[in-house]
Amino acid sequence: MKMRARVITLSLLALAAVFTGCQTPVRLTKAEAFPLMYMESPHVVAVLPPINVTTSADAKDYYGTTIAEPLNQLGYYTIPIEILNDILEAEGLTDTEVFKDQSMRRFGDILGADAVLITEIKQWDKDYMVVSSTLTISIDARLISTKTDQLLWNYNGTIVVDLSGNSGNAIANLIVTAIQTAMADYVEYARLANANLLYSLPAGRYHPLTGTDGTQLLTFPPGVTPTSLVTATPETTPGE
Amino acid sequence: MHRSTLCVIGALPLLFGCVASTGLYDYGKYSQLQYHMHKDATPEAFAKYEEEVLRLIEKAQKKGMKVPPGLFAEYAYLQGLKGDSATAAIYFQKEVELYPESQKYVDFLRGISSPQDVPVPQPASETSTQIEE
Repeated sequence: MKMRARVITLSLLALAAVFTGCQTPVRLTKAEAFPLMYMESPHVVAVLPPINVTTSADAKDYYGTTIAEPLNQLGYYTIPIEILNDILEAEGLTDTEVFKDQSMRRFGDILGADAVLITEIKQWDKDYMVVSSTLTISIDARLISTKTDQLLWNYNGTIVVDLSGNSGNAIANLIVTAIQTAMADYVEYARLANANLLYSLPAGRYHPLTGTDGTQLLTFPPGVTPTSLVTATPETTPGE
Repeated sequence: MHRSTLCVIGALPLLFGCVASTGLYDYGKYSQLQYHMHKDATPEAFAKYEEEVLRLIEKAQKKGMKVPPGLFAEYAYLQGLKGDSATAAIYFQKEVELYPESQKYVDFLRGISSPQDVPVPQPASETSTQIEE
């Protein structure tokens, strides 16, 4: 409970930062940012094993258990993670990096997926400092069409949690910090990062808002470019 | 970098509300127990996960709610792993009936897991021609 309060406090502080100091973020509606989502309306999603660029070896396995449920709650049908992981493992395809430059069509042909979700764990770590420590989880995600191989949606979900205790006594703070840091459950916070990530995703077929949330306004943090702008830039055509 | 992460977090309070209220299904402790299955990697953690999948299926059925996507298939798959291919076939079929979009991957799984002892109930007439193309 205390931690949640801290998250919110931190969020409010961050909101203040938005109004005062940040670079101007891009603001677009969902339909402007992700027009192909509304044209293709992907429904069945194959969630590939996360790409992990952090030094935390467990992150890949653990994060993978957090993403399917919220996607289904948003109205999508995800191929059960445990099943898909085993299929990929049997084919020797546990490293999602391998798919980066490949066509995703086979996920449609063989498994019936309309889109593939690729997640990349950018940060999954704790910063230990003397009087405070923070936990940061940052996830980049993109949906790719199995019909056209085009990027349908992409976004970033990040959460920074202040884990420090503040008793006013430095020694006590150290102890509290150590305890709270040990207890902090990465996965619990990864779910919050996912919430941050998935609010930008248009609702899926089984959701009451499906097809009607195109006017919702999204803010793109610096470093995240909406797909409409990505696809507008000329790219090398994938050879086939 | 720090700035940008803070900006992202700024949107968080707005999200707490909507995420909680948009849940379509009761997934109970599904994700948590899946996580523990991966983290602990013990037979007990596996059993707890399997129990939860079945509990959620039965709970939804009792309440007349839609069984969440994938749960029938997952339960089928877990039974298949344990060698109970008859139960697996029944639950795979339930997934396909409730979610026809699961047909392709379920067929793929039926194909790789000893097709001779997993009888696939098929509506007789057109399907055979479809398969042969």
